[in-house]
This record gives sequence, structure tokens and C-alpha cells, in this order.
Amino acid sequence: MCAVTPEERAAILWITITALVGIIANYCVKAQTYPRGVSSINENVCKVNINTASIDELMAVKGVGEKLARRIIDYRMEKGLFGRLQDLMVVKGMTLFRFNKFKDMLIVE
Amino acid sequence: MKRLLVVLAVSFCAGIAAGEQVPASFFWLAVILICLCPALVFLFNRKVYFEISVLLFMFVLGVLHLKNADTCAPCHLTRMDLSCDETPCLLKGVIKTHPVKEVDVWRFVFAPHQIQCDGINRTCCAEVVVSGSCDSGLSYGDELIIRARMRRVPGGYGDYLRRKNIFYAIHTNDCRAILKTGFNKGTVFEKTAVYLRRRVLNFISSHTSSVAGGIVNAMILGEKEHVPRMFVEAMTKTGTVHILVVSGFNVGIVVMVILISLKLLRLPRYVRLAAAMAAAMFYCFVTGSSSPVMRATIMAEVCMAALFFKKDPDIYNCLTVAALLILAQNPRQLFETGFELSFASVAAIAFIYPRLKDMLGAGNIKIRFFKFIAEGFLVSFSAWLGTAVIIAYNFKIFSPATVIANIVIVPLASCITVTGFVMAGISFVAPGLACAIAYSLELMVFVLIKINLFIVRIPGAYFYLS
Repeated sequence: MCAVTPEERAAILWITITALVGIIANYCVKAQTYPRGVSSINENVCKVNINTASIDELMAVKGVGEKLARRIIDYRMEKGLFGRLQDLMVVKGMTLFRFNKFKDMLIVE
Repeated sequence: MKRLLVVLAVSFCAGIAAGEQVPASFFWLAVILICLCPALVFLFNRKVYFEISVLLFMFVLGVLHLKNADTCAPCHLTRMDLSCDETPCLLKGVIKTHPVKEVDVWRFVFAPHQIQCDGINRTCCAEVVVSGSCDSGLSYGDELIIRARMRRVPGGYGDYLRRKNIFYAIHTNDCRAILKTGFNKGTVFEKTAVYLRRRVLNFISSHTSSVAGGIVNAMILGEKEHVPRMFVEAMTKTGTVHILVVSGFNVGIVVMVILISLKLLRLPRYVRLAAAMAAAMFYCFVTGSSSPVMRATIMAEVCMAALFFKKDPDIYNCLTVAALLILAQNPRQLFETGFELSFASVAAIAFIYPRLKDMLGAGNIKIRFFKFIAEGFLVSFSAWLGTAVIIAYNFKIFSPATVIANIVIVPLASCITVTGFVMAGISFVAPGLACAIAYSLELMVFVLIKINLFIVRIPGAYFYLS
């Protein structure tokens, strides 16, 4: 069919078998790569501190509009710093649904 | 036997193409191939039987390779039982592609190596496409922590991403959600490439208009994001959009410049070839290692390796080695339009052009100008023949004007590319002179746009098929 020489046949044999061994080895390595437990990533990175955040920073959190951001800041100015995240529930316009929506993106420090 | 590799590669590709329809598992396919190995050894001296067995072996190997590529490790995000689409998770990892910024939104592929979700921290592997805003400048290799919801991408774009082994996407408008925690963690090679790319991009963008800068950046660095959409559409209609992709021509220029420069320095032949091979690889990395540039780089490497060992390079074998190496990395590339067009055009030029040239006697034309035009027409026509069906199937457009457009636009695009390279090189040593070159570059791009718009307006230049 292709009139290959013995040397070429030997090369083909070597290449095909090496490729097969490579694919099987790759599969075995992949199959054994289980997830390992590691130390936690700093939870507070990327979060907005509601005691120091500006209006723009609060509005950057998905679900917080300009009105709510302004109310949070007004509350902070009026009543002092927030002691815990749940204190946000006292702010006018804050509902449990909204609180649950963006509580993961906020922090009190 | 010069074309044996081509036959084997075709069989391997057929296996990959048929892979999805084969219901057998990886295990049983591997068992079949392991059983075939002694048969190959046994049939070693029986020529025809050996060749048939090898073709069969390569076909099943293609299927096996696809099954292997489709298998995700247990630490892969797709194998984890996560509720990341409901609650945000924290991902720590590095940027795997050159990030592109478009109106304050960064887009890049991110490779997380640690995930924190549902209160569990663990290692992971995967690639995720990210689009979002970030206060700090981002670059290839930077280490990030991202807090966002991951979602699976539906539809055609999702299929496109899955072919690249990307299963999740992240989109966030919160600039605090992406935090840079470390600079480029790559090697000196990667850092240098990133530095050069950024430097050239900045120089071109700051010394040319936004339109010309976008087009030149696409032509020499493959940065297509800032090319005006209208221009891309016009190029698609005339079938010349390939000039906006870094391809064999660009790699050829890099290799040529290195070889000629080192020859002027009277360095030995093997040093020149080795340096050109290294430069081609470096350029491939700088431009983002897309399919066409990978194909061109591997072909250039194989050709130069052949010259290094004083052998005659064969274009079909070079093309086959390039295809096999790209498919070895990701077999799903076979279903990519870019991959298909890149290989189909080169194969068509290699196969059809010499036959047309002999048949029509284009090589016998005495006047050099007419000979150049005739040969250019035949090259363009050959490439068009090779790619017309793929383009019609994927883009639903048929452009008869492509043949004429390429004769005019490709030489001009070549001038722009060469001038762009010269300007980029000179900008490092004589920025003032490079600024002067930028003006001529601007003029050439203006002419390119005008010619393209003129061809688009010719009646019957293109037809939409649906």
C-alpha cells in the first residue's frame, strides 16, 4: 500500500506504542489527582467593610443600589459603627431577602 | 515513502472525529489497543497486513485520545459537587492568557488551583473564562483571588469554550471581586514575552489612531479586540479577514529577519537556524499561541530542523507534524473552524497551486509583473477553493470577490505587517524614527480600508447563504 521500509515500520511501531503508553499514563495520572484539603483563602479579601466603605464601594456590591448605600452610610453617621453584619437589618429598606443576597460580600471590621 | 505520516495522521483524525459516536469506554479502548500491540509486532514483516493494522491502531488511538481529553480529574471543577452558581466562591489561581481590557472590563482565562466554596477549601484544576472589572492592571501570569459566582455557559459560545476545555465562566461588575495578590509568576521567557508584547502594544496604540492601531496590533500581535467591528465585517465579506490573524506569513517574516541579520554577522549556518527556531517559538508565545500561529510555528520549526540536519523539508509532512502536535495537546481543536481553515488553506495551496500553475503555464510568462499577478491569482484561487466550503458552512457566506481581493489586499497587508515589525523593532532603539514610520503605517491602513470598502460595494462580491 505505502511501500514502507523496515526502518520506517520500526519507527511507526515505536511512535504508536509510545503514544499509547503516553495516553494511558496521562489518564492514570489524571484519575489519581484528587482534591486535597488546604488552608483557607483569606475570607475577608474582596469583601466590603460596611464601617469604612464609601457610597461607590457599597454600590459596587451586587444588589446594593444608591438609595440603600446612602441609607447605610446615614445610619453609620447617626448611630455609630456597625457591631455585626446583622445590624444592617435595622437600616430602612433592608429586607431579609436582600440581606441574604449580599451578606457574603460584606464584612464588619 | 514520503507521505506515510499523512496517511497515519488522517486515520488518527478520523478516530478523533468519530470519537464522540463510539460508545466504548476508555478502559475497553485501551484494552483493544494493548491487544493490538503484539499483533503489530507479529505482522511486522507482512507489509500490507502491518499497514492495515497500523491504520486501524491509529484510528482507535484517535478515539482513545478524545476519550482521555474528555475525562476530567477528580480535582476538576466539573467533578466537584459545588453550588457555586448559587453562592459566591473564592478562587485562587493565575491568569493563563493575555488579558484584554475593553471599557474597564477585563477578559481572560483563569486557572484556579484552590477553591473555597460551601465552607470547604481544597485544591482544584480547571480553566475558567473571567470578565470583570479590577482596579489594578492585569497581565499574563498574575496571581489573583476572585470572589464570584461561577456558571456554566449555554449555547454555541458554551460549545466553543468546551472545545477549549473551559466549562465555567465568571462575570462580575464588582471591582473588589478580583484581587491581585502576585505579579507574573512565570519564567524569564514568559516575563520577557509579556513585557515585549505590552511595550509594542502601547507604542502602536499611542502613536497611531485607534482604528489604525487596532488593525496593526491585530496583524502583528494577534490582538483583535480593538479592530473596528465594521472593518471586520467588511473583511469577512471580501474573504480577507485572515490578514487580521497572526499566521505563517508573520512567522515567516520573523524567521527571515533573524536569518538575514545573522547572516550579515557571518555566523555559522547551524547557529542561524537555531536562533531562528528560538525566535519563532518566542514569537508564537508573544502572540498568544493561537491555532494558526501554532501551525505556522511548528511547520517553520520542522522545516528548519530538516535544514539543520541537511534534509529536504516536505510541506505535507511538516503540515502533518503540526496538526498532530496541536491535536496531541487538545484533540477538540479538530472541530475548531480556525484550525480547519488554517490547515485547509495551506494544504490547498500546497496541492492545487502547483498543478494549476503547470496546467495554465503561469510559470512561462515572460514579463515579471504579469507573472507575479498570475501566480498571486492562482495562490489566492487555490486557497479559496480549499476554504470556500468550510467558510460557507460555518459563516453562511460565499464570497467570489475573495480571489480578486486577496491579490490586492494581501500584498498591501504584507507591507503593513513588515512595516509594523520594523516600527516595533525600531521603537526600542530610536522611538523618534519609529514615530515617523507610524505615519506611513497609518496611510497604508487607510488605503487598505478604502480598497476593502470598494470591493465590498462591487455587485455580487458576496452572498449570504441563509
